[in-house]
Amino acid sequence: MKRVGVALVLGLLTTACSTPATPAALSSSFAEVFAGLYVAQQAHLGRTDVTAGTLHPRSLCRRTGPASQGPGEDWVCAVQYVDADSTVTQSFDMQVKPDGCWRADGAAASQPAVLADPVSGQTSVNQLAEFDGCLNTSWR
Amino acid sequence: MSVVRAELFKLVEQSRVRVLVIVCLLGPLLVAFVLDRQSGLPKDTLFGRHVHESGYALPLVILGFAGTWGFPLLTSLVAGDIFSSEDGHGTWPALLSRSRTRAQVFTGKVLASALVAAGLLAVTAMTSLLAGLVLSGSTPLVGLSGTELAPGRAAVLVAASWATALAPLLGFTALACLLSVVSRSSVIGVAGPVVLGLVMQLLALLGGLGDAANVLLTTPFGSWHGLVREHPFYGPLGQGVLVSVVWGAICLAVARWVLLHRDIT
Amino acid sequence: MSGVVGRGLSKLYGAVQALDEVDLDVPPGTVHGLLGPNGAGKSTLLRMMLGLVRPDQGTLEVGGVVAGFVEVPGAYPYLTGRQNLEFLARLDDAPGDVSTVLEQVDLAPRADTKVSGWSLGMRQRLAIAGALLRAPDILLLDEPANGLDVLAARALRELVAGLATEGLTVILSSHDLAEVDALCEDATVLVSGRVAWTGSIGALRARPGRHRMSTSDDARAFRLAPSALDVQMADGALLLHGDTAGVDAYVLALGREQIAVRSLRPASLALEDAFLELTR
Repeated sequence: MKRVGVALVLGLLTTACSTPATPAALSSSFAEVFAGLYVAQQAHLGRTDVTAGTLHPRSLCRRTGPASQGPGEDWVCAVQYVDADSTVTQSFDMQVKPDGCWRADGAAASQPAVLADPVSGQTSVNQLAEFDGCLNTSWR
Repeated sequence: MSVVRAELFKLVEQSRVRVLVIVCLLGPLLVAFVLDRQSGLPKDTLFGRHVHESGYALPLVILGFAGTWGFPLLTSLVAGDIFSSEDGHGTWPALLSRSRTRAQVFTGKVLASALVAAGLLAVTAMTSLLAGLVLSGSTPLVGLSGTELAPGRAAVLVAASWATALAPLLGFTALACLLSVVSRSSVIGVAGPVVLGLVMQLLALLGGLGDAANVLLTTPFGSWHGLVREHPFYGPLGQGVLVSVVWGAICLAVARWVLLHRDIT
Repeated sequence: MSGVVGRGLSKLYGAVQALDEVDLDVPPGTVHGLLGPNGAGKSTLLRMMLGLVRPDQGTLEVGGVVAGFVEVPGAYPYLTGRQNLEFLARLDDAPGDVSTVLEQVDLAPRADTKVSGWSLGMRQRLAIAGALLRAPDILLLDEPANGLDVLAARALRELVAGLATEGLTVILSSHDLAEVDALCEDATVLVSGRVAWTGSIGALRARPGRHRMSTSDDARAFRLAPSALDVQMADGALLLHGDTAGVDAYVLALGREQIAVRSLRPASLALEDAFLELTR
């Protein structure tokens, strides 16, 4: 009984130290959502030639504070993608919540809140101005 | 199960249960009405920014809200009172001198509480979806993978997301039953699960728990996050069900033992 | 057979000995009174018969279906009287007819109103109806006349007496002697968890050791009373309380003092006196 208890406590302590919010996990989650939103946005603007395949999104996330992982408001994600043969790099301020979901703020990446359709002139909400995603929080 | 039917017969006559049904029916419509009247968006909640774009966002917003404190209260209002009210009304002698054994009465009361909880969950899910569709119509939903989900798929995923709340909800039903049996007090039976739910959320919110937060009974309320995506991940859902089952089994085993062995004074 | 036989029943609640080696014999078809002051263990004994409380020691044989109420006549206030009974009937394999038992306890006219507005007396009768619905062999009633006015108490007495003639075994717990006197053939007196006395009501009134005596000179006889014997002057006679040998010695002593004993017979006490003496 005692050994089982000790093993349980040790197990809990080790899992307590591990967190789903690692730079690698956040980078891939962010890149996926960014690509999805970017392709949808361009499609709304009439550009159907942009796909996740042509975009080649790559992203790198890191915490700017003393901690290197876990929930916090001091995450930054840089994303690099290819559009019309030019490579673009943008940086988003990130907030990672304890439940594993995150929020990206596009202000630093100069994403406008509203987009105007160049043909019709109609305005729509820019989904890239602020967007959410969630990490897989299950035990790995 | 005659005990289940008898308990349900009793429950539907309680004004508290009737009010609960009305709140579950009208609450989501009221939220839709308020959102329709104001320009601000509940951006702090997942899908909050999309409530005016897609009718499938509102039910997910309500699901997110309900997971924080609504669900524990939803079930504890019934389950937290179902045993202790017999103490309060002095009805154990009459109830336990019928043809049914104590164990049958226990099982019947637990099943009745679970049925009511599941029923209320289904009602709230349906009216939330209805409220969303009335507010913003059946348009594609931007999922948590950034891609748009077609209305048909979105509807299925919304229903599935609400269904994931069933396991932790029933876990809280078991917890409420346990508190109701042990404390013999409806105040503790009803408020206890809500307070414990808030404490668990606070623990998770303070962080530092990391993966250990997955053993909390409130964490599975977020397992739907993995579903509303182009390529769903099911890990949190499976773990959530497992965690809920373990919580439920422990609570019910203890509650049953206490009820069967206790002197009813 | 549907009586109740208890042997050496003991129950400890924390530091309180609720029951201490209690023996109980209730033959089938009788109306048995459980007497005793509050806290004597009557309700604990009834709870044991209903299977709500387990004895720490001893055995309890209950021959047949038991139903009744203990301490409070429980009911669901948000249901009507009829719904309360319908709920209980759903839990019985072969329940009686709800309307019939409502008639039996004279609640039919108010049966479809919510119990929350009912008086204690009506709740008592509803609880009895709930027990009758179970078609019990043994009916337990705990202080059933509590909170009843004179008329309602009499109606209840008539109901219980009627049930007893139908062959039901009734165990009636009460601190009200008049009620027990009116309904019960036998009684058990509990004091502080122990059986202080058990037997027929008649025997309880005429307990041995009490004599009523008149002499040619009561005043002198009273002065000559020995210390071993409790002698009191009461309405033109002497009341003696003590064992037979003491009474004999007293009578002989009076003879030696030239005092004639004109009559000496066992005294039948008022039930209340007998009860007070037991529970003192």
